[in-house]
Amino acid sequence: MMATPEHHLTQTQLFVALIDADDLSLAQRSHLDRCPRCRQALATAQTPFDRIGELAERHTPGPVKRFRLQAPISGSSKRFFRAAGMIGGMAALMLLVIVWGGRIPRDTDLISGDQHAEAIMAAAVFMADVDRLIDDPLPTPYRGLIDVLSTDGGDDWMDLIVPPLSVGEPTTRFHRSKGEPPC
Amino acid sequence: MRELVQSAASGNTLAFHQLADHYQVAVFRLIYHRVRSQLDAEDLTQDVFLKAYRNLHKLKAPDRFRNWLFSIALNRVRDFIRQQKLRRLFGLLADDSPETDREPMDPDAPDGFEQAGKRQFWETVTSMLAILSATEREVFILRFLDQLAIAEIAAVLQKSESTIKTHLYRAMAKFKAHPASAMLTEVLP
Repeated sequence: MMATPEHHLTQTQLFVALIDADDLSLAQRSHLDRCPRCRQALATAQTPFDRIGELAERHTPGPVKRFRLQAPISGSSKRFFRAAGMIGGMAALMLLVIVWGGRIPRDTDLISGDQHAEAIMAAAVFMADVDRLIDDPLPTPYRGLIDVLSTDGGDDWMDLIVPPLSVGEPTTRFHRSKGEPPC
Repeated sequence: MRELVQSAASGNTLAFHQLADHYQVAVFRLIYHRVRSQLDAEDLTQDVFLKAYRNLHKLKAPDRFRNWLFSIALNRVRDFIRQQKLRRLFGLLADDSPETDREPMDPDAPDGFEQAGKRQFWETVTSMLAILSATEREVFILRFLDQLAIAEIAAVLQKSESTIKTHLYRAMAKFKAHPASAMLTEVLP
């Protein structure tokens, strides 16, 4: 609808004017310039939109912290931190060895001097027993028996226990011929 | 400003800090108008400037820094809102109320009147914006809350000015017809 001095701007034209007055036709713009009623209508239509911007500004807080970039780490700083880390790691390792190394138990730490001497004596006795057993493996109660066996008349004694076989006597009965009487 | 942008693009952090100081309030407000949470807006603003610093070398025209920055902010807000929706979907966010409801009362406020007015205003705005389509809502907020000109809105949203005007006209008509629009001029403090 064309605006003339007799025809005021419509609601649609007022919205168009609110968005961009240049979008109105030349006639509409000239009417708006000259018509106080249309200017008042335009101001009234604009009020809620201005008001929402005004209230939004009032009810919107501002930022608290300012934006700042973290300081970049340079190459030399990186090398420094790497070397410091390695030194620190080695120092920690050495400290660990010192602290825990002293806590590792050793055999000599567990026994006193007397106990040490007793242990040496026991070892000597044990070794003496080993040597004696090598020379004479029989236990003491059986040792006399060895002495008996080792007498000079051993052959007689053995003959007593195991009778010697006579020459020509068959060793077993299977060698007897059939019909031969047993002995 | 062009020189500052070029200097910052070449790695001058001092120049970028000057740019951040100049635009931080505008970016913060743009974000706050959409997320309605001081803490979230603070974090997102920091994200936006960090992202801008990292991608500044990609900006071909230093004159467009402001619009480019606002585009980053809008994209970041969209990502954030999408994440919020997903969290609500999976029950990671306890309540479904607007973010302003979760904000603590300002201890510096002389009384609760200002806080109540603030809450009532944002609730009214939320109810009025709910009747708009996503594009109409975005255009409307950019024009009347963020106070951007039509040409700037077109640049930020990468749309033609006539498209922006069409969406804005529809949004204004719906807004005007909303019963709560009278509250803005008569009731709200």
